[in-house]
Amino acid sequence: MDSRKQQSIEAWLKQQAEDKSKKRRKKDLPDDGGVTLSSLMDAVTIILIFLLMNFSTDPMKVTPHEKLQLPLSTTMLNAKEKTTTLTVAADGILVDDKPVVTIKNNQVDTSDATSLTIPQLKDHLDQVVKERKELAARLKQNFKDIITIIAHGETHYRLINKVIYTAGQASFTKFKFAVVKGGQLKQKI
Amino acid sequence: MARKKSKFVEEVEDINLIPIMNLVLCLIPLVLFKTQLVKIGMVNVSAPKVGPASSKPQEEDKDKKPLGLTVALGKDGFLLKATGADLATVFGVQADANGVKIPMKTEDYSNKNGDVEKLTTYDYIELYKKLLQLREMYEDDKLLTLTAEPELEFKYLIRTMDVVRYQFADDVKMASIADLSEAANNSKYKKVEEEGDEGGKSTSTYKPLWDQVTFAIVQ
Repeated sequence: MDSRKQQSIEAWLKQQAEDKSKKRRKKDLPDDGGVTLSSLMDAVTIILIFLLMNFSTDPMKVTPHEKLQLPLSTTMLNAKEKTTTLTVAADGILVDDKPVVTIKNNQVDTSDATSLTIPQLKDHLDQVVKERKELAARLKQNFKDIITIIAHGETHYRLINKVIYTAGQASFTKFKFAVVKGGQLKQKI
Repeated sequence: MARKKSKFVEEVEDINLIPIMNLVLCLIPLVLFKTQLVKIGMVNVSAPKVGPASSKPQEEDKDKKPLGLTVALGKDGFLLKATGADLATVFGVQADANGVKIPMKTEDYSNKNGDVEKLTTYDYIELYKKLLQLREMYEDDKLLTLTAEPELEFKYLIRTMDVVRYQFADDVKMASIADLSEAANNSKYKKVEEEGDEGGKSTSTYKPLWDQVTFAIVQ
């Protein structure tokens, strides 16, 4: 009795497996039950092409965030060469991405508020200039006295004034401002 | 007589995409890291002058006094000053001890919800027209000094530099800032032909208005 039951169960399972296999063949699905990669491949290729189209070869990379919203501009000039960068965010000043001074309410903590020079920034820039001059001398090149200022759009003119003056004191003579390109001259800015 | 179908069906094996997928998935983070979705541009500024905006006449050209033009941005509008000319006479306006004022103007502005509200802003169009008039009179002058009230936001200075950089084409309508915006985005500027070196091909560049800007550092 038990063996007959066993046989009928086995026959039923076999039948089920055959039916399933037929269905699979009908649907043209792979027998091993693997995932079809073609559609995923398509999506990934599209993403890759999109990213390659936006691939940046600019020597300068800026990631705007809440405290560093660059002003919009219609300028057509691109960043052509790598220079010393001076970032004036809403909460601090950075030189080549290294934090140097903190800013609170558009003001720098200095002992002399009326002075145009920001002492900590001046010391740091002097150090940077010294290193760059040494490097340029070793490479038998001329020191490039260009500085790119990446400033938050809502920075007060007073602070920009101080930053430019301090950079000028540290022997930088050419100034460039980083802006977001292609910005429309919107009514409200 | 019907032909019997062949039992030998050629089986085409699928390409093994897994190694390619691995490669592509490794490439994505690398490319993503170098991708910059925001296009960064540059605005050149000449080395600033220290002290109040003034320019001494050049020794070699005593006959022609440089204009020494300064545009000051205040809370109530622009103020035009020049050390080499009486701007009130040039523009035929009432003389003011400080210079020629271009007050703010109020225009309609439709916000994100589509509601129209009144917006008080700088009169960039009037500034452009006045600077164009000065450019025609002082063709050799190049430097424009820009200054602002200490608490004015930096983005207004960039906007002003955008407006005074090049001369717009004659057919550009100048009714509102939106017209200037459209013209700037479509690069509708006047063009000038520049001859190439040693008989090379001539190149066409945009005609500058006051493209050499410096900031006045006032102590």
